[in-house]
Amino acid sequence: MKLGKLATLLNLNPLTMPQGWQDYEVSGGFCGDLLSDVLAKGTPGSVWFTVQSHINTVAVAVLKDFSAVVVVNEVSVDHDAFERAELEGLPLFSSEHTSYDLCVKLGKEGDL
Amino acid sequence: MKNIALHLLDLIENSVKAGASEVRIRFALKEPSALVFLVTDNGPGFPDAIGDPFHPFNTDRKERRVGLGLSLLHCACRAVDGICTAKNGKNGGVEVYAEFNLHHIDMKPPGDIVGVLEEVCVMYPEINLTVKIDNSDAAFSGEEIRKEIGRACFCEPSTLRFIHKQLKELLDPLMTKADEAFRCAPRILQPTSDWRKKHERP
Repeated sequence: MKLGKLATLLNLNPLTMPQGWQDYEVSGGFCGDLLSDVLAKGTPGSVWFTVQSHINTVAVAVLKDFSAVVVVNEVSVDHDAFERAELEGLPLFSSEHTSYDLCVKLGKEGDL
Repeated sequence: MKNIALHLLDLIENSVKAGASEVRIRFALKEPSALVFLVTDNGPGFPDAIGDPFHPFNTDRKERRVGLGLSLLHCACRAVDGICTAKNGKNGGVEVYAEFNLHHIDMKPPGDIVGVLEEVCVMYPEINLTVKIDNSDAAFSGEEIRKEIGRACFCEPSTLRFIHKQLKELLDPLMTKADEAFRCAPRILQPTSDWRKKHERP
């Protein structure tokens, strides 16, 4: 599934918009807030739903080759995390919804 | 809680609610990468009947059966291979010690500790807050500032600026190092080979 389509479907607010982000391929999803667990279990190409929004979140996403990070539950994103995501070309979104609600919608209406 | 500063705020609020008039905080950085603080107060201490203060169902709250502040601090420390202890001090009051491994991947950001301490000064002017750094003679003392300005309230803009400056000068060297160590955590992990290909510059 293309990231642009996913972002429209889930009505995500884009925080960083690296060039061509709409065409990034999303191959799966991951929900989790414990960075060590995400490192152990996350798969490349996933979109990651989390409440973590500090700079190490961006580092883990880059390390795992995630397609995008969605900061859920209206959590504010640390400025240095935003800056780093921009530098790394990592699409970063925010949403007022919970991970659960977003994933239910993605499961029902998305094509993953 | 999103960062360590908020855990600290929670501890101070516990002391205030317990009726303490003095809260002392000592910070330290321990080699190679630990952020340490010790919070003590002159309140009544933990009641004997409470048992393990980290157990979420052990609380002396009247309004509900669950007290999560200390339990969450304990979890946050344990998650990063740190140490957390809470007990009554020899001279009364509580002593809460927390040690965080800044290089651990599950470490929370240290957060705005200066900002939180400033807020405490404004919100609880009746509390004498003392802040010290290990291996340094410099200290922040709410009581001394109060004597100097000759009134109890810290709300004047000029006083606020003074408090901000004092706390910042005291804590900035330590917090800058702590923030730097925190950022290092992912770099200490072994990047995967794909990641290397993509990100390593010649």
